[in-house]
Amino acid sequence: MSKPKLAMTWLSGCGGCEESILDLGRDLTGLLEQVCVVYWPVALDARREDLGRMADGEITACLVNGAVRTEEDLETARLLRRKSRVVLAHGSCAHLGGVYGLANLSSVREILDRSYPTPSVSTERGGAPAAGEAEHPLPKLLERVFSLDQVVKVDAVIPGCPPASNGIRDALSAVVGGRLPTGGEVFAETRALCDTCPRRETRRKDTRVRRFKRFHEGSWDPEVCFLEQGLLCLGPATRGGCEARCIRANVPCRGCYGPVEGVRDAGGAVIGFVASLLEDAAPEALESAVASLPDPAGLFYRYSLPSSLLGGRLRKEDP
Amino acid sequence: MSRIISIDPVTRLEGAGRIEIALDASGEVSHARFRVVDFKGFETFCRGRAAEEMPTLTQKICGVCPTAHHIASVKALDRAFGAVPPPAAEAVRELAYQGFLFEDHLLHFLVMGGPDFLATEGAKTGRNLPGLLNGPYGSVLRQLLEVRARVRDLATLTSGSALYPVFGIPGGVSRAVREEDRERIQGIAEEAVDAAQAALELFHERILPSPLYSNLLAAPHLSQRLFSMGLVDGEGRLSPYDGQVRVVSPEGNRFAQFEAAAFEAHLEERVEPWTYMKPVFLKRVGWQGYTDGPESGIYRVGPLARLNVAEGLPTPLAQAETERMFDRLGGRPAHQTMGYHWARLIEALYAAERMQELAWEERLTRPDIRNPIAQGGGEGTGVCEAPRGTLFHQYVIDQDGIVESANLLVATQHNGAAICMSVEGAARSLIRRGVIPENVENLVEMAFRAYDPCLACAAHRIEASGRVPSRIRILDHRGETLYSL
Amino acid sequence: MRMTDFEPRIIGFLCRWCAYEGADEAGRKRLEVPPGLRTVRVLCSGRVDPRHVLEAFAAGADGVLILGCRIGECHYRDGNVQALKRVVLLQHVMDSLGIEPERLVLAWVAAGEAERFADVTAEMVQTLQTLGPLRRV
Repeated sequence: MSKPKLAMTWLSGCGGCEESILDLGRDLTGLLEQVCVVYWPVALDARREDLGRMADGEITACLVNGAVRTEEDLETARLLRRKSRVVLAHGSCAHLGGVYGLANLSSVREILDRSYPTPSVSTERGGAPAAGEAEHPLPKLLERVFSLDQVVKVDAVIPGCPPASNGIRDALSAVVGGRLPTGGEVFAETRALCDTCPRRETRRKDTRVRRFKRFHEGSWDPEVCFLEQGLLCLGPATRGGCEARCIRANVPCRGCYGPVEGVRDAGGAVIGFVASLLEDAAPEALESAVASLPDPAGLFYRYSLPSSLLGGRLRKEDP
Repeated sequence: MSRIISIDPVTRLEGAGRIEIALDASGEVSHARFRVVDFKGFETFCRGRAAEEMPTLTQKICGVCPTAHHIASVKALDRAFGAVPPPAAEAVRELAYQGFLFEDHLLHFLVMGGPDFLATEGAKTGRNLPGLLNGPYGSVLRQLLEVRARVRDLATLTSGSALYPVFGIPGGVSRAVREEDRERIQGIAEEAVDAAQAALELFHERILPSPLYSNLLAAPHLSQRLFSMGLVDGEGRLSPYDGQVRVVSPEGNRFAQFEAAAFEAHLEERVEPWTYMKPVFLKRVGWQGYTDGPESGIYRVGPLARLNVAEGLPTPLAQAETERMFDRLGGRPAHQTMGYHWARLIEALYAAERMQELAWEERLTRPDIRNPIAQGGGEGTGVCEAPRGTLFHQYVIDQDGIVESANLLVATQHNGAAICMSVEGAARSLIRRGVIPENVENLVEMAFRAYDPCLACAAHRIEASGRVPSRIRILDHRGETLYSL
Repeated sequence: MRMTDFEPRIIGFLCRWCAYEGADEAGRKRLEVPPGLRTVRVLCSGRVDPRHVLEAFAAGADGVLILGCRIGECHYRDGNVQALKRVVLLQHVMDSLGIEPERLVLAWVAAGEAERFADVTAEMVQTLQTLGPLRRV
């Protein structure tokens, strides 16, 4: 029986998911022996035309990380989808749009206006610039950032920014073991981080907050639930599976594993539980509590804005 | 006569870029360009964010060097908020940083740059880490991989996670290192020193004497006589974690030294129509085009440049190796681009030695790891040496602790012009009269791989397009693309 | 400037204990009710999840209305208080997402208060006619 063919590549990503693969350590070397890696640009010299020459569905499983930011990303996503039996969204960007999705708070016009001054013509050594320059405009930005499943069918997800090793290991074991994931399986917990949080015993059922504290407002107890201490932790609305790495480092969760099973809009889920924590509904108290959250959209949707119900900022003006 | 070669994507680096080589009418290389067409737009979406989120947000520029961004970012916040971290916090931060510097340099050697020189076969199937693990160096490479993994694992005691450092808080770090963990840290630091030495041994035994490496090392077209920039301490020694910025001329004279906050007065970005990684040059020298020498404001950063700039290294084993290197390269400063690979391993050794020193310092495990902030907002610049070069984070934070603006100048950007020059140099040496040798792709790629470029970083602010699968194209003198492979 | 010929699309979440009856009553009394209003009956204003509101806007609503019982009169004790907290926080977030906070209205009515229902809905139409339709990317 021939080995499954594996591809691992990126769209608009940062390289962190590549690192997460390398962090499998010894499991990685063991794994590499059980698959045939046909496309892995960070480590191998296989070229894009090698990809193009493959038959449709020839790749058994393809891990794709990075968000869909440009037309090029869109083309690549579609090409990979055609050539692969299963596609796994690897990491927050592919899963939810990721941090780069915060660009959806601005319009493309706003981004472009704020960016490049008009390029000056450079004086080149060796004569005139090649005439072909103008033929190669920059790959076009899509009007907003998308998650992978918004442009192609995705068979499974390995969440996280980047994912912790366990999720990747489980996904790759499934591939190697011939149990190709389908139907949108998510390689993490189904329930919220609170369920597996090392501090869960210290959270009371009737926790209430008058206002939220900022990090620089003072220290906090490294053993007690952040919400109990008035620090906003997104754990209640975030899928578990990360082994609470941030909690163990004594900082609150920022939601990189995305929403729990069955929930579509991560930020909306956060609004729900945060509202339920507020102690006092009297107008001034409520205003004060809400004002203590300086950037709710940027925080609640930090990893998931593209995949949210609204997808980004709505505008009255046409683009 | 002209033909086209296309390499798509350029591989074994972080990010995506494109190389274009233009031939003139007689088939000689007229110029080459390394085009980065990556886009993220960080400076746009950092505005309006809560300041304390910046260290974890800006690190998403690059998943290979998140720790470098995290450190530069939290330092910028320290200054903006007027907070001075206590000694224990500084020790924890630096320990995390040195661990990262060590393992990131080792990553490049193992996965990206090293395979070019360690592979015994010429074909692309063996010229990669998975292939090499089954070859004659398999066991030492495995050892290096394992030590690298253990050093990364150490992050759970310091920064939180090597993949996702989170410990940076304005005025300190989020938690202390426990005394009961000290022994483990010391053990891993010692392993790191051994591993760095093993890597250097491999380099001396297999790479330095090899015809491929030694020819490229000596190749005039791969020697760019440029200014060098890097951080130094109060005694002018290598100090990548923190220090003042020093610039040294191609002849080795000290040209400038300044505090990081003043970087905009010294460095200028150049806008080019064909690339979105805007190269940077020294204002006081000026831009003369893609040329080297003391009249050209182009400079380099990263391992070789840092060693060029430093008057020595504060750790003994790395210092000895540095002397050995400059001896072989003909003195300091050295301009052979392939020297970057050697300098990188020396820095890995330095980082391991620093880890060892910190692991034995009493202040490392003190419980007080936070100091209060003095003001609600302000301006602040943080600097550190990312493995690829000097990294600046400069923020303006309003009095409510919200980011008004963020200005980032990232390692690979500084090297933008130099990378073009090295790529062009490589192309020139290989392509004559329109004859393009078979292995041109690999040899041209090796020219930029020496810099360990990180294109996600370089493109953090490029506000236009996105990733392009990298390709090398050769254009004829009319600018027409003739073919792609 | 008010766009009087623009008929805003409003999703109204009406608590069955008060507002839904009020709407019924308004119908029986033939009071004017905005033609663009679509109602959803809920057991309590506190049943409305923030995501229902976001989904309504995403689906094309120009405005979202939540009508519940007066504070102290909630059939489930404090469901309406929960609704209040959510709405205030939602409005804070909506602002950053380009949706004017005035497009989300939370109002209290007593059971069967037909005139109040008609007034609240008419006022909302006026507000939305001034704001204009909500466009999407």
